[in-house]
Amino acid sequence: MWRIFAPILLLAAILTWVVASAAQPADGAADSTGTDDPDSSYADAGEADSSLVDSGDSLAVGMGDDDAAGGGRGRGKRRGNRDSLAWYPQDNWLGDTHPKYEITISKELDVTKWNSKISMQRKLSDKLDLNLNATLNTKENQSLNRSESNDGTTANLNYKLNEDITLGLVYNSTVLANRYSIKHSEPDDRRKKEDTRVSAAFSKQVSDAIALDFKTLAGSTENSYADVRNKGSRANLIGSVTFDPNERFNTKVGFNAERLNLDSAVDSAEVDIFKSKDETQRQRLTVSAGYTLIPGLNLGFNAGRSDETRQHPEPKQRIQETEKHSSRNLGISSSFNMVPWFTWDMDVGFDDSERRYTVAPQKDNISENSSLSGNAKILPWRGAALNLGGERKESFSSYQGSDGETDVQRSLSLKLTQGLGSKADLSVTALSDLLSIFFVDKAANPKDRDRLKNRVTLDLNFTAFKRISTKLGLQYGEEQTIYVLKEASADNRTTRRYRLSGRYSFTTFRKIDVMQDYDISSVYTYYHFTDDEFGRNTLVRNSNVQTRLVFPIIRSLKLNFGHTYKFQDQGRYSEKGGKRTYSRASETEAHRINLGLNYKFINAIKIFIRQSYYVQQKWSLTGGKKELESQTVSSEIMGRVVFNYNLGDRTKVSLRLEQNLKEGERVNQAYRSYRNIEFEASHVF
Amino acid sequence: MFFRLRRSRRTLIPAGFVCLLLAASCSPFSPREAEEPVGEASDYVEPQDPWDVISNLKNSIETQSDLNYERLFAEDFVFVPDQSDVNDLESIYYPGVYDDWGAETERQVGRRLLDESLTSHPALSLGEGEVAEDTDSTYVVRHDYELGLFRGRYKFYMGTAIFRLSLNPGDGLWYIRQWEDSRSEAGQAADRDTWGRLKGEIRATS
Repeated sequence: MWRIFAPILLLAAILTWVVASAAQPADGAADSTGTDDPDSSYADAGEADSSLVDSGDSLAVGMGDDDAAGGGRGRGKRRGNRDSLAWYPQDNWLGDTHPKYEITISKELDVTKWNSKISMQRKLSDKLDLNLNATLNTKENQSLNRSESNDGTTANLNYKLNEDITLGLVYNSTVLANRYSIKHSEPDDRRKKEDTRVSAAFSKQVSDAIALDFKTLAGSTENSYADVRNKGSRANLIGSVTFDPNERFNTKVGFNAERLNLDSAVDSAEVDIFKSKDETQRQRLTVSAGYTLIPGLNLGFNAGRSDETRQHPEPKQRIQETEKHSSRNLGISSSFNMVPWFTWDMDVGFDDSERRYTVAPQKDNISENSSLSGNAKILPWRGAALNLGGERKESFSSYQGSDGETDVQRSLSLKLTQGLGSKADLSVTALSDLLSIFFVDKAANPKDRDRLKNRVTLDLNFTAFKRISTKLGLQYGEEQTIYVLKEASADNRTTRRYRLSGRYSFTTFRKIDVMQDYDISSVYTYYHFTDDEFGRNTLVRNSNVQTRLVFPIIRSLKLNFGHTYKFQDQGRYSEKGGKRTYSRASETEAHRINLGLNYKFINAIKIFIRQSYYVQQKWSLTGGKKELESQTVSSEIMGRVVFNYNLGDRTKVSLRLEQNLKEGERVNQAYRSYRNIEFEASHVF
Repeated sequence: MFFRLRRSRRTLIPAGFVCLLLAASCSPFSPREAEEPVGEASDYVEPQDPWDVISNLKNSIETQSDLNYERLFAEDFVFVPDQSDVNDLESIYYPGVYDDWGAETERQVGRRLLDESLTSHPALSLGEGEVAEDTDSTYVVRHDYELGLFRGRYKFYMGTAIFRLSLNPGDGLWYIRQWEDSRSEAGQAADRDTWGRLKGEIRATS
């Protein structure tokens, strides 16, 4: 019950506070509401708050108390020093603690969420700082009759021993609980994870060329979920050495290792407790280097290796599984950037990975990958830019005991953009991509295949006058799916897509905006092996016209009108003897009309109302005879009120209410009328 | 001279564009030759209506057609797993297994799921759809499902899937844009894993 009443009480309190402060618009308060920018700096907040203190309203008392609690460091004093210390980050003021509380409550259709978060950063001394975060998130789904909650706490204490060494203490706790019936008081499924760790970080610039970074963490971890519980220790070592002797050469070696020892127990009511000692070790070593041969010509190199051994219990089988995973990678890159009209870059990469299981060796898998890619940018003439790209990737994978497959992907791309004076620009894009899959055991998997995709688009933008703009687009795409072997080749097909689209927009008298979009497309799907005259080949054609008008009645009130017309027909066709015969099977025509009203009541309140009407008619055509198959009519009226209010820079409140009424034949009764609510509030204490 | 240069440039630019268009329309790659088929083609309908997508999903599973499965998803597709599956799999053992689950991940997992050398006898039954939203561009439907398949042993997966479909204005066809998986009361009572759990396990171990 508290989950329901606590947010309502909080909402009532905040609204009372907001109304009370709005009802007494002191000079200072007027200043504070004038700050609309949510990202405004904390320094502004201080000014707004001090003006509230001066105004003597109810909030001022609270702020005064807060100041007093801040160790006697008054706002007047802070403000007095601000000019001289403007460069100093405000968060670093010693002794100031500003916990921030955020709450969001929302209900959308049948899902209700509560999210709350409190966070605090406090600098205890020049060397010691503390960060605290606590979150509580709950989600309830009425129609699924389920609820989930997720509570998290993080505490982080850092002590800077000297310029090079920082010591830390970290505590993390997460509790997740699921209820499969909302009425259940006890969760059906609970998971808890708790970590406490100490850390020591060493970071030193040994010389101009050499930098060292090391961090070690060690602590305890406790984890429980479903029937499994485990408890143990975790240690990490992370380090890197950077060698950067001059501007032309740099190199870095990094190392990351983790060791995890857990005592695990699978606790099942029916059988004995299964216990295991699980050990996990991970290591990763990386090396990277960059070299500038001459200014504008760069070479890069990176390589890495990782190994992992992981043990864990399999709860349902009550045995301990050991996974071994290793991987290696190598990459070389180059870039050329010496002349302004031509640049290129090229990358080569290789990696392999292997995963082995002791108990379930059928899950073993390996993969080997290589790739080669390159891009070039050329400026061939004035106003033009040509981008060329190419890539080849090859990967072999063997998964769960299968003999494996090799995938080879090749792609090429081209894009040319041309500025045609200041009023127009034109672009042509082309892409070709071929993916070929080769199975080793073709008897077990007879689906060797190629998938070829080609696409060409042309776009033209033209702004004839300041208030009139037009756009034209042409697109052709083709996708071929080819199964090579006879067992699957009946599905071989080619799909071709053609699309022509256009748009214009202009502003008429009284600042009325007019916009219209046209879109015509057709999709042919052609099956390569089809004997039936009108068997499987299909053609779908679409026409779409959208019209939008915006009438500004007064500055704060706008009326929107929109109409969408859609027409789609589809049928089968034959391509026998090189002659295409089309037999239309169905037609669908739809209209949608929207009428909307935007009203900005005051800066803080916005109102939106929309009414829409939709009608769709579907006809079937048999033997040239057209019959109405179905008619769908739906209407909807939706109203939304959004309230945003910033009380100074410390308190933000927003409320969003949406009521929707639908009449539709296909929509379930439960979803025809709903009210969505979202409330958000945050306060920096 | 200047006039000639300007004229030649004026003709060069459109000519260059035409050449590029011609070059772009010719594919540099060509697929392999196919053998004459011996079997029947799988059922696949161009998804002009949202329920065609659901029908194609069922057919692609049952005929193990991973290519038809791949065609179901929009490029901005998102998979939302059940929170308890995330809790179980994303414990210390498979951290991040459900992260960034988009169209490409779904297609790769679908290929593994429907690989004939690993899976056989798949059967998918979908309960009656409950439509939550139905406009000319969005369709949201909820189905209870039961998926049965043989991967070493025959196993059933049960749960509820909420599919959010959207109409692609480029071709006027429907695609799955979001798939939200959750445990159902029936699945919970029968102690069945969800389909999302199976997908997570496939991604975690590949």
